[in-house]
Amino acid sequence: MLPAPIERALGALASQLPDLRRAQSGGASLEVALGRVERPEMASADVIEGSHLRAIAVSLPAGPTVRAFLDGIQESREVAWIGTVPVVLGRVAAVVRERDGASLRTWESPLRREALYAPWARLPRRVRALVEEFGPEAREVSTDDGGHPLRAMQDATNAVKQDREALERTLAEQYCGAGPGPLYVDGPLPPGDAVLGSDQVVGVIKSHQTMYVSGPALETVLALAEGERTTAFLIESRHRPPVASWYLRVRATVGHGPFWGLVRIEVPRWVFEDGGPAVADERSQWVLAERAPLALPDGRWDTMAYGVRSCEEYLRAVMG
Amino acid sequence: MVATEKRPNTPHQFHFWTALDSPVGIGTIVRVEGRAAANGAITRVFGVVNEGESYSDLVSPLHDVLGYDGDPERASTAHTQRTEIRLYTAAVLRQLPDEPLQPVPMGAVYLADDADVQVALRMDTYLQAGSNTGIPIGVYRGGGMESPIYLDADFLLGPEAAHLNITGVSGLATKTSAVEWLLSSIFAHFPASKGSVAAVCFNVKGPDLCFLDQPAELGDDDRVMYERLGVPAAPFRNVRYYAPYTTSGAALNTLRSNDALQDNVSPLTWGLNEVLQYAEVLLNKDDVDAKADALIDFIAQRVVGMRFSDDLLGSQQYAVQSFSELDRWFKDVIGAMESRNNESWRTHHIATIRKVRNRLTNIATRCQGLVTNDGASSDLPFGTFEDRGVYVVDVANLEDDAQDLVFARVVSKLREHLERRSLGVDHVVVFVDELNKYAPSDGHETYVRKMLLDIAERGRYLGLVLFSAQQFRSQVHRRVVGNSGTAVYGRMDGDELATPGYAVLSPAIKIKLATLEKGQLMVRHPHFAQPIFVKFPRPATLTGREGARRFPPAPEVPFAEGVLRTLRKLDASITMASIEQVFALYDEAEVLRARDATVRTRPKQVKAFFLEQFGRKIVPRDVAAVPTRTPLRPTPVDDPYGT
Repeated sequence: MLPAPIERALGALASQLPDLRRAQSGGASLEVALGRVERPEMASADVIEGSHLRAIAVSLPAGPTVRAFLDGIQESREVAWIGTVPVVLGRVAAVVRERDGASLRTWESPLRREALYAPWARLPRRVRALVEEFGPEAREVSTDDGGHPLRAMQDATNAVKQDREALERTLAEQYCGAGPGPLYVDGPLPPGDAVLGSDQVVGVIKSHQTMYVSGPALETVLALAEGERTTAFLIESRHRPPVASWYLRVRATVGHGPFWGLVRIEVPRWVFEDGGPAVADERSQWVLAERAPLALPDGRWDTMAYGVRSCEEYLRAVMG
Repeated sequence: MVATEKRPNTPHQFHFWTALDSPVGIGTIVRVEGRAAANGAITRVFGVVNEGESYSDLVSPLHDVLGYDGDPERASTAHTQRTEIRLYTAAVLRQLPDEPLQPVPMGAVYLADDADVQVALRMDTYLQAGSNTGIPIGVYRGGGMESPIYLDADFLLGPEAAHLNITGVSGLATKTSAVEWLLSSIFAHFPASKGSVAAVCFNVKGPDLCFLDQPAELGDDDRVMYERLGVPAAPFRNVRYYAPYTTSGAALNTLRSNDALQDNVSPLTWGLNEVLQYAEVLLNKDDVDAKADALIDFIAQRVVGMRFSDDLLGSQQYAVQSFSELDRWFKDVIGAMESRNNESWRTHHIATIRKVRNRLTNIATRCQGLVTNDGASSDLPFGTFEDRGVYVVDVANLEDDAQDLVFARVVSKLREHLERRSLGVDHVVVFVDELNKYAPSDGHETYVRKMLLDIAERGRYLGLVLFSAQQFRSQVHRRVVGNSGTAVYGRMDGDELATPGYAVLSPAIKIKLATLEKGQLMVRHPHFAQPIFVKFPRPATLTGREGARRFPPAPEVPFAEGVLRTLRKLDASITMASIEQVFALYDEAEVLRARDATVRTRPKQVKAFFLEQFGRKIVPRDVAAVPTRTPLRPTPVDDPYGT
């Protein structure tokens, strides 16, 4: 069942646009249906801890330090076609789940957004106006799709993803700005003054589509034992200021492949430069402390903290 | 509130979740406010929580084993707890409006307050000013609330429904305490417009009911509860005790034998005739056939209590009043038949006569102390029962058969008098413990069981109300417990709860019943759609155990001292010296006959009357010869019997 404003808008469009076809919203989301897999790639990064990448054992933590977890979710579904143009419903949300004793509770309010994504510029102007008249936000998707409808849907899905990242960034900024305590961000550190100006935040990346090491350094990473980290390196990007990063093995690989239990950690560059290797050890301990409880039955449980799963479960519940 | 396809709301139950620290628990009464109006009215639903679940997002226990490396210590000290839910199921007590009866609508769930509890349990229908028939049974404590719970007198003491049955394990005094408390409550709240009420309690074990007139020490909590429920925190003011004599006949066979408590204790003794009327109670039906029945009837109508002569017996005149005289009569009849070689007499075959003699002699053995030697009886005051009076019949030390006899006769007399509206009160509550003994679900039909069935099924029309108790309800005849309009449960035995009769209770209710604290009850009442848990205060009367400690039973005394003790209840100045001659001159039966006559008559000159019963053989000492009449200290201190 679609949200009421969306349903109203589509109903109005259908009554005025003879070539509008409704699409069932059941089945898999576009993120799953399109099955697009990012192409793995290698990237270079300068080692900033010592002269070359090597493995360092991290002592096990006494207890948790992380105070809160941040994560977001997204969902894209085709809901209508106007001629050859697909209209995609995108729903995104982000939340911070904060420790209250041993329980996790929602920090302030989660951020949510839902909109109809389409290359509206390709349609008569009144169509977009009609949509917005009934409430839902109409988000523009690039028209640079060569006219391929599936590519238009893929672009819509990318736009949804950007909106989800924007919510995560906003929330991370709010939390770090408020400064209640260490924040565990699922994924790369979002750009922002409060986040990158904080020494109380770590980004934990579970997927490794981009590897920042190669050759012998790659062998070192894939051979990390449980509780070992690599020396730190610097990741530079045009989307945000450079951050310090290192790999950490949170679970033993016995019976599994070399990426089992492997995460990459990010902290603001200045934090590492100020604190040095001790900071990398300590932030690694933050992450290692979150190995239990397990995030099962999520398939990514080897690298996912329970607090992150709690965020996702919460958001799925409130998104309906 | 939550409802899913797999766990939907229905007209009889609904589900809701709470915060982990919510005071909701099994037995809590809640109110649901529907979100939308139906037929122009917002539906309100009242329910009682009868099941609860708690679970986390853990899919498999193995996941925790993995997560904590198989170390339970690490799991117990985990710094992050999994998301957890408290999910409750409530059974519907009432829906407003009543029609149309629909599945419980989605809405907000609230803890019930006093007013909600009244509506939920339909108490609002009988607690109205001017027609209030509420009898407090305790307070409902749930969700931090505390609300009085009332039974409807019309459904507890008749005529709409009646009777109360209580089940619970032995040893917690819950059953006895609950009945004592409820009687106090009835006495305080039974509406004057409904007439008068009294109670007859059979004390069937130990000293349980022997101190109903003695105050107990109550805690502040109990006193607050008494005040809240409007019941005086005081023992019963008008209690009479009745007990048969011991087999020797010297003293009453009761644990309430402490000298300080004898003012309201009376003998319970019956003549041979009264016993024969209920011989059926004691005789084995398979053994005593129609012929024997006919002979017993002949003896009861023609021999006992009247002058009897017969050609067979020559000039001998009989005035049979006791079992020993009856036996002498039998002996003469059988002897005469044998000497004349007669096989039958007055259509009764000699074998039948021998059999009946044997069976009746047996009764005499089993009912010693209950049957008087002079045929007179000392009985409950049938006809002059007093409003709010409690009449305790102590049969705890009697043989089972004698208990049956007492029970059968007392209840039959109550019934007779109530039918004639001549008992003295309009309603009588009869309390019987150990019901599985008197009305078992299996075994052969007995007189007592038939009588209990009769009370259960028809007593409410007469004002004869049965309050019964037992440890195992499943072992009581289903028509007896089934006819109890109100059923009360204390702490229950797990095996008992596993019997089919409790199948309607949820596992959570069962576990609550199995772990109920002393003073807590689960109550079923015709107005309550679901069982409700209540707490009642400690009775304001001494418990049997405490009473026996504070008022220890008088030690067993020799025959003469026992007789003296009985006479001194009528006149404390009587000394052993003044009556000791009778013990030397007369046998015990004659002495007892004189004593019983004195006790029945209650003459002003007790000693003189007592001695007069022995004719001219004894001349009372000149009272004036006694120099001074010094009041004796209570026995057994010092030497109370004089010299």
